[in-house]
Amino acid sequence: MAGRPQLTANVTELPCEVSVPTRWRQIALTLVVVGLLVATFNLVLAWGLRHTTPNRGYWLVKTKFQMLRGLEAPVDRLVLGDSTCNQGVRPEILEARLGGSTINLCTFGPNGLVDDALMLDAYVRKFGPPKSVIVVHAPDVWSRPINYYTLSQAPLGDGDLRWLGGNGLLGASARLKIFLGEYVPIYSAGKGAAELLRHPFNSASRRFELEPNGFMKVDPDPENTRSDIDRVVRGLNMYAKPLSGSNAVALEAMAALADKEGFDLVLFHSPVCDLLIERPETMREYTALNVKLNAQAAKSSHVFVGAEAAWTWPAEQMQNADHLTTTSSVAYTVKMAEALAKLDHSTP
Amino acid sequence: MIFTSLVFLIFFAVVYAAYLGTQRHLRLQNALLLCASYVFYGYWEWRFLLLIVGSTLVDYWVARRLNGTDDSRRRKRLVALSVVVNLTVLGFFKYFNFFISSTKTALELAGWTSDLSTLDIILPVGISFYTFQTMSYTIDVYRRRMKPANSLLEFAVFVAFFPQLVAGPIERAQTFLPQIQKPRTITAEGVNAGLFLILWGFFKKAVIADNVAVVANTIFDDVGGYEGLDLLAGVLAFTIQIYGDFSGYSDIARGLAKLMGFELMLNFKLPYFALSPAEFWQRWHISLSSWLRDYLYIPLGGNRGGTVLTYRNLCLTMLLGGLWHGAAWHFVLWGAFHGTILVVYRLVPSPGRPLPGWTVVPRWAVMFGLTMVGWVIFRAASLQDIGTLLGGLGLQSSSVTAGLYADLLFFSWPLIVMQVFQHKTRNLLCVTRLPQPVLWVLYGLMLLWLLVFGMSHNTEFIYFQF
Repeated sequence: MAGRPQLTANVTELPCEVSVPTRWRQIALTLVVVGLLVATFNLVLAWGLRHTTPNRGYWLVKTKFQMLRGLEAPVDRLVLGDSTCNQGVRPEILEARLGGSTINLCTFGPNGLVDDALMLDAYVRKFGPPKSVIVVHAPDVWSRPINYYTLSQAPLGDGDLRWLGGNGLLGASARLKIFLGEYVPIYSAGKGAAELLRHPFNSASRRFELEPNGFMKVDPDPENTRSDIDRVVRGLNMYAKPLSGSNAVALEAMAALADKEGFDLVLFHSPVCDLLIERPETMREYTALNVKLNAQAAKSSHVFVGAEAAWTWPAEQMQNADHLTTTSSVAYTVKMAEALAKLDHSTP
Repeated sequence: MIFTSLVFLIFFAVVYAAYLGTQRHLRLQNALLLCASYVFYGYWEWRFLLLIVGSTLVDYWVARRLNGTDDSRRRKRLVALSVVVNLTVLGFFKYFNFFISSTKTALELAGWTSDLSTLDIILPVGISFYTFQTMSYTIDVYRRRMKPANSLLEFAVFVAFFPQLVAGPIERAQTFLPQIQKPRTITAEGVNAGLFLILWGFFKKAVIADNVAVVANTIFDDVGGYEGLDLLAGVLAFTIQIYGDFSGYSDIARGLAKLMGFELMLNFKLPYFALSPAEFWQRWHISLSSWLRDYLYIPLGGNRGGTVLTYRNLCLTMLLGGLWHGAAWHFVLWGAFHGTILVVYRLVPSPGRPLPGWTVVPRWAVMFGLTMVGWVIFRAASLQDIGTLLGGLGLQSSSVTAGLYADLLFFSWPLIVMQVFQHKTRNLLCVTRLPQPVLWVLYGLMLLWLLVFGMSHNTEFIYFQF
């Protein structure tokens, strides 16, 4: 630039790049050591996330599986499903209305019906058949394929893996994802890891609380509910089939177990916001899904559809598009109890 | 193909393995580089490869013809042909709709009606970068500053070299073509520096820029909905975002090139340490500012025609520099703003001796503030938003203020620390001089942050749109 006309002038001393003499061995050593450091950190993080995760869904899966493992006596009624059911079905109301003991083991949507089937299988192996099983899912969850990264958050034992393998749900890709989900959080749980590092004391177990019967209390959030409608509709539009392959396999397996062991399996739709039911995508989904669920019920003497129509609530009584609050969960569970009583199949 | 995508990492691993395997065969290696570059570009939109190929053929042919004649009129016609072809392509794809809609608006303001209509034109990625690069080649051959390339293959690699194809640095044929023409030597020093630049570039893009972008977008998408301190957080966030994004890309490009034995020009020299607009342009997007100096400012007369003409040339250069960034009035305004502050700083009489040390901080603060004002003009969606944002800056806080600053600080402190270290040592590679154990820990932490906090979705680099 010296001696040439300048677009600019009066510049202070500028930085430059000064390389340092390096040997190839130093570079190789750096790559190896950095690789080892990252691997070590990854394992520490995996350990940390196993004990304290900020992700509510992951925490639910872990906690509910632990509840199942920790059960010391059989219960009459198992409630399985996703997070809509986790905060929508109150076991004490079912107990009061229908009698018998009930536990809510619902987890969250990404695991679909597969972890319902895993839990049911594990329960039956441990205690024998319950008297009835209720399965509840949000409209978009029925159509979602299983997410093995989230499934890996469950403490999967040999029996669980055998069940997955026996039902054709444990191919090489699934095994890899379960491994990555369990042992490589820097790849599989980036957001959770980031949240844990940023807010180490903000774990899900500090923010949420489960009652001893598995029910979780939640406050209303009408604004969030209104804006959440599109999320569910997007989910409905994402998949063509109303019942995904992995969910169909899980449902089939649960139905087969119900027939074999002689307990009732009752399927319910989750509660939804009345604004969601107005969307044509939602109605289309329910129509197609009910055909599938009724077909499954027709094949088995122990499988029932609790109610074909979805029960709706105004946004003010919901946490989001398909999740109830503590107050409105009472009405949902009462409706469910009435439907079960009508079916006259659930009363132990 | 975006540098921060898994596809690119696989692509580069394959290309690099093949590149190392062809180290003893220059022509084969150059052919590999060309194929890889075309795949890299064609992965986005293969039809626009024709533009690059067309531009390559025209400028190669023009330069060969220029070399074969001493007839000055013929030489002028040839170089004009190159400039016209390149600017026509650039003008059509980048500025046609802008020109039409601006003309229409002007006619309507004058009370005329018009049925001018815009076209549905897709802007080819990186067109402004490679067009300027090839134009500078023919102009340099015309000025007899260099001999034309003897090999079309070598020239095609110069135009399409994939690390810097879509967002620069805008290389000069005089320095880059010779590197393509002779066998490259891959040294441990180069690889060491390259690895640092790639890691730091990824870090700046995926950890810093993409995360502070969340703060910037929140504010800029709703400028009327926030208090003064929130608006300031948004402006600071964009100031960090655009630097992290663009310099991150440049670092990755230069790092990849170093791994292959090439040396690309430095594009950034800690621009936010500038004490004046003049210094800022010596530090920011250096390959563009030096291009504008050599091929626009100097031909306009530079500072040879007296004070007024110098100011005119400065303003014109910066206006066109602003327009280079995009076909929108706010880019032109941004250029005009920088032209104006360059002139205003020149109007202040120089004391003729170095300014005392205590003036550094206030001079830096003023320049940093002006830079941020520039970024408001650059980023805001409308002139009204610029007014709302600049007028609304203040010390009023809201319920979200603390959260915005917490996010901003959490993601930008590594940048601040690194830049201060680089500034103090006057060495952009100062990190590579750290003792090895310190370096291992630092690289490990950077990689971990990248894996944990790097935005998982592939966010395009801002400068791809230019």
